[in-house]
Amino acid sequence: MAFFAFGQAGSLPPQALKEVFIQANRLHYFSSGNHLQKIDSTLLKNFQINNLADLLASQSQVFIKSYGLGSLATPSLRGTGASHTAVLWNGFNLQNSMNGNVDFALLPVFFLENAHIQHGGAGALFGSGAVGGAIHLNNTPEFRKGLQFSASLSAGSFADFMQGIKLKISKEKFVSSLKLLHHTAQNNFSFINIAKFGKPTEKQSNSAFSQYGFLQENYFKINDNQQLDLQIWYLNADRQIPPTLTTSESKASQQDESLRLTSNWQLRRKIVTYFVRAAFFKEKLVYQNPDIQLTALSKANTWIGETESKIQLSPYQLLNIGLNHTYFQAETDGYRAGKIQHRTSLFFSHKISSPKDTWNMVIGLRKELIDKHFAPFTPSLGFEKVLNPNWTLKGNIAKTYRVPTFNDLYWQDGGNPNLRPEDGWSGEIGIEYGLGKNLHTRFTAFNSLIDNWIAWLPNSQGRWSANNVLQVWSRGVELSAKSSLTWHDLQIQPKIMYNYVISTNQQIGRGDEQSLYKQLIYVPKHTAQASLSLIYKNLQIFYNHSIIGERFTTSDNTQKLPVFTLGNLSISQKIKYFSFQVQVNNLWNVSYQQIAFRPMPMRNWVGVVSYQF
Amino acid sequence: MKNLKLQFFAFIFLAIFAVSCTKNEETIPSGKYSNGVFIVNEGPFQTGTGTISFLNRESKTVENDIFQTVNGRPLGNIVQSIGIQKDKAYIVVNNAKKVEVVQAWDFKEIATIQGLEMPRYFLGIDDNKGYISEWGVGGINGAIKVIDLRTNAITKTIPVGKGAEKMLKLDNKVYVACNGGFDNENKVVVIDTQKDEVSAGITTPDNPNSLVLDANNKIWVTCSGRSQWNGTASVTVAPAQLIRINPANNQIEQNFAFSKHGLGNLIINSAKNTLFYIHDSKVFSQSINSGVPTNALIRRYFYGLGFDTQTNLLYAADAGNFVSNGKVIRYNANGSAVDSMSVGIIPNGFYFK
Repeated sequence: MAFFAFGQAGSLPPQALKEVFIQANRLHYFSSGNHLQKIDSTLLKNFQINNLADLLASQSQVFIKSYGLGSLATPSLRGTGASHTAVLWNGFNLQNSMNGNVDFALLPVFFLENAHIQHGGAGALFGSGAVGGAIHLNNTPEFRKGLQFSASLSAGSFADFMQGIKLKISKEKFVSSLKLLHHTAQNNFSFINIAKFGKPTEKQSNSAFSQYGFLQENYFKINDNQQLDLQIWYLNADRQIPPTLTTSESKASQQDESLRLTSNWQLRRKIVTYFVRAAFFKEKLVYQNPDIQLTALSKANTWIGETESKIQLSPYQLLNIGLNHTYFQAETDGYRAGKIQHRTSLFFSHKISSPKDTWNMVIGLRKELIDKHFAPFTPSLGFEKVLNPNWTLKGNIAKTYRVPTFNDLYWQDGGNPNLRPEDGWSGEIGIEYGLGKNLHTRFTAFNSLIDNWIAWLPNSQGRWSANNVLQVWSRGVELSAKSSLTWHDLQIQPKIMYNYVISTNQQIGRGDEQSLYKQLIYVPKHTAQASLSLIYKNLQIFYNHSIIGERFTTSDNTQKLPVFTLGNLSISQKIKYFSFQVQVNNLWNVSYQQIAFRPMPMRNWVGVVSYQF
Repeated sequence: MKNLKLQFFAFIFLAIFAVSCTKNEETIPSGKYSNGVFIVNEGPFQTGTGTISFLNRESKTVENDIFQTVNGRPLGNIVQSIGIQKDKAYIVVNNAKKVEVVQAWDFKEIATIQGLEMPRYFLGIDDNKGYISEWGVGGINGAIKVIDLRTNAITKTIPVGKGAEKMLKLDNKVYVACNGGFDNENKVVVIDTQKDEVSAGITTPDNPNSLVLDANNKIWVTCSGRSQWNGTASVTVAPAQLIRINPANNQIEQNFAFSKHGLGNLIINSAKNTLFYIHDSKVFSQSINSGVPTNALIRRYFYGLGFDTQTNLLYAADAGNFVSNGKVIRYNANGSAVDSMSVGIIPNGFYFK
């Protein structure tokens, strides 16, 4: 079971990939020229008790904005906003139709087997929301593996307890797996309240969470040419919303419930492979704040139908044509009535490769109809060229867009039904240098412009409304280098990553002159991470160090949060059927804030015991 | 013997010192913020902190966030107002449910008054007593909290009505406008400051919010009216009204009705004969002897107003985009702009010293 194969990091045989029937995702065949990072199962293993936000914050070049331990966490890729990163689960976009966000605190790593992070715009391939980039979560089956079982228990600081079970039956013709998770925490960590008289040390209050859910996946090999997949994912989360340093207390809470059903059928013919997919997402959110006598219920349903053909025109030419229809339905008191939206998109990609696969080029096109209005025509062009065995050159230019959320369109008061989609361009050029398994380095420079950026601003009468007012220019560089060295039984894997992002307002709204040409709030110019993994037989020691640069907290850049550094240590040991892990978070006991006045925990730890066969 | 002499001189010296100290206590010390204008900035909603800016009238310079500068910590979420009694300033922090007490001349922190629910305004009654209006739990349990200014303890809670807002002191009475809080209310409550009890209630048009005393000792109150959401827009259910109360008998003597809802930020000039208020997103000025003017004085929306009796200037707070620093624009009483200055995030009001 690859998930528990730690101690043999990176030793997943290449044949394992061939076990996969067909990679159903466009990412694998039709992405070209983008900076793409894969987070493999070995790394995921270290984070099995964490959520996707924790994982990405330390292991990727995605900047994560977290409102506190277990609280709302949203991504920012290449200087864009929380709703500018598409999150695709088995190819289906998880972005909530009401607010455009995906809460990464509600995506337990326990359910995931791999993750890909695609930097840069990918509107032609993945549609609305893939502006700063896209995060792909695709579990893939392995047939003929027999019965696998594992159970994990964890306990940590602030009454953090997690229990998880994984069961997998992998036969010749079908794979069925069940993952069950239950996670609770008090999160009553101590912090210095810098906002109070005498700066007392206080315990975080109203910060508990409880989360449970399951993921059930089935893969049927109907015959040599046909496969059917069905996945059911349910998650229920109950979270208290803690006070900030500048408020006295909080009684607010939030309950999230989501049910996600996805299915995929594929038929492989000699030249053409057909895919038919369907998905249904049901999300419910209840926000309660007794202080202001508020109970707000939001419900969103999404039905997605998609059909796609992959056509092998010649050994060197691959064509993809697809049609997607999505029906959104949402209701909340804020809209005064239920709202619906139909979206239909037609997409097309053409890949041309050289005979020896030394270069490839992909042209992508997408046209989307939103109710009765067309989104901007969305083309893209990407290429990859192997210059010599060590050097690879990559480039991509893509149109991007984001459809307004239901809140932007319909929220009363201030929603604006006449909003247009945000639209922009994103371009990048990258060069990679590799020395087999020993070294891999990457340098990417990017430049992107987002026009008609939707912002909520007050008009001259003090009335707030959503408008297509901003233009944001984001540019920067991404650097990464990783190595893997073996010395006797010891494997040493160092990795470094660095991001430089300038993301500025080029056009602003009325009364916002001070924000012109200023860096967007909560977008650090500099971020850097370094990690070191030492693997000796069944022992693994993993250390990660992150440095997050200054973040402005006001749009006129007059206020900012200081630089902080975080160190996380994980030690794991496998003994026969058991594995043990200890995680020490915030090893250097740093007092920091990710969001202004929201305290974060000082040094804390978690211990995990897993049993598997 | 020599020792004794020394002790004697020391005693004399100490006695003189003690006397001079006692004398100093009688007068209010002077400092950087003794004379000028405090500008209240609510600060960004949700997670931010509000601030107090200070304008030095002579140098025309603004110093922002003086509380943080002096005390090395933020004030708290949504700073609603500032009130001064004798030598102490009371900064009301709404969402942090507290009042920060500082020395009015140098802004050094003294104490924090807690145990408040959605506090709004502070009014000094005498050297030993102050009132804090609050909306209360759920924003509908408005009350006046009586504070012992020597101990900063809450000594009494006087329930008054939904949304206890601005207060006006006249002799031994305090008039409290109840603006409804998160609901609606239609009264001004009168409190006897000697008994700390409600002595009368005046039924007014819907949602009274601010009050001033004019040259004839009459009380003017702006009542914002009521609106309802019809699905696409806010429609007026009860229009705004400007009323005049005679404090001698607590009767409403005069009543000016507007066509729409929304009226507030009532202030008065130095001569106490001209009112200024905000209606329909514009600033109006009205003589106490005439009706509602047809034309606005300033056709611009402001989030707060103030009148500086020392310079006879009208101060207007522009909150801009509500997420970055706002502006204060100063006007002559005739509506002509004088100058403007950058202040903190969401400026909403002023205190003139």
